[in-house]
Amino acid sequence: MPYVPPPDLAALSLAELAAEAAARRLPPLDQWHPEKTGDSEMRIAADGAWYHQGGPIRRPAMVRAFSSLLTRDAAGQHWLVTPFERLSIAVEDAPFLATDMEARTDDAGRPVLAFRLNTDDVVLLGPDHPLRVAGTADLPAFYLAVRHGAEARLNRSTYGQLIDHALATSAPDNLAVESLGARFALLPA
Amino acid sequence: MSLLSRLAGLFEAGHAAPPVPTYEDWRFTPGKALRPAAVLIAVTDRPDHPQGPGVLLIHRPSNMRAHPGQAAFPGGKIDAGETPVEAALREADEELGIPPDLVQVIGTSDQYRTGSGYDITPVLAMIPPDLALRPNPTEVAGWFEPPLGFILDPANHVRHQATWEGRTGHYIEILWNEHRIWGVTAGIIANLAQRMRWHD
Repeated sequence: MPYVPPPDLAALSLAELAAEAAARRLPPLDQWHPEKTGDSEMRIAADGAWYHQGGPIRRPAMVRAFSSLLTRDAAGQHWLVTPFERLSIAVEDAPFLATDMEARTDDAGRPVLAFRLNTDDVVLLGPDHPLRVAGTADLPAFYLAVRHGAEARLNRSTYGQLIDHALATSAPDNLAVESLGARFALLPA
Repeated sequence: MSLLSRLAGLFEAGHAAPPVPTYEDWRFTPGKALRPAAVLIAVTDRPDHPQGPGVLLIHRPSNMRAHPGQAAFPGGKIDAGETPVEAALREADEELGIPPDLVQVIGTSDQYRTGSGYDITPVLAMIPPDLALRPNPTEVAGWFEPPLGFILDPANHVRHQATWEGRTGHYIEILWNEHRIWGVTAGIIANLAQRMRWHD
């Protein structure tokens, strides 16, 4: 099956972005309660690349498939969940990487920020997918909640897009962004 | 990661999307009453085999009424009160002597409606390797075990055109060694390959 890359985020209307965000059908992880645990022998590097037994996984469809099984528990450990087994997976930073951002305005004039992930998912920033700011004031790190506790780190260019948007829409001494009715300060807590 | 978890992970991720049955039996006639049936896609647990895990297929005897001589998954009609999984396990036991308690069911895939009047539910499962199979001669002429990776590779799915009762359509053919897999079974495999991205 040839890999068909998704359309460029900039080319999509808000309705199309929302449709893409909703279109990702995910396995019913919440319904599975496997008792067995194991080690997936997989690792997700800080740049979003996946490795199995030390070798890179070069198939985007394989990464997309397994990324739909990701969860993170309260202790911060990431797992791949199947109906049979819960497999630990090592994550260097965040399991997803946000690689592009687009700002749109909805019919009510409210801003909506859409992010593209390295797994092709579209995530709309908002109450269901909040932004977390870590790091230091000099070197902040931005994380977007994706699903089941797993986050996407904004890569450098996307972080730049976020800051540019915040500079255009908020006070420089109190940088923040708004999306889907929620406001997120861009300074580390 | 165990082979079961890899299979189950790819299976569940691939089946979360709504069904997109690319390969329907082109001879299927809408409105025709269909008999429910189930087949077992039994993957052999061979994590370390150079060609990966295999899949059990049978050759139907040439004198059988339905699908004579064809390569097929073990399976058959669903009896009253049976689920597709129960039917697939029962048929695999009757046809090949696969003990149901050794079968780890992973899930059911997209139904496939055939021109011969069946509505088939494929059941994906894993079985231990090298089971002592006992083919039932009235239903099974022989069995073979192609690699799962080979049959799920779209590059091995060759489309052919055919004409039947004045209509022209396409079917899939998969050739492995001296075995020819086509028709219903190849259609079910091609659909599963859309769901489970074993290769890309």
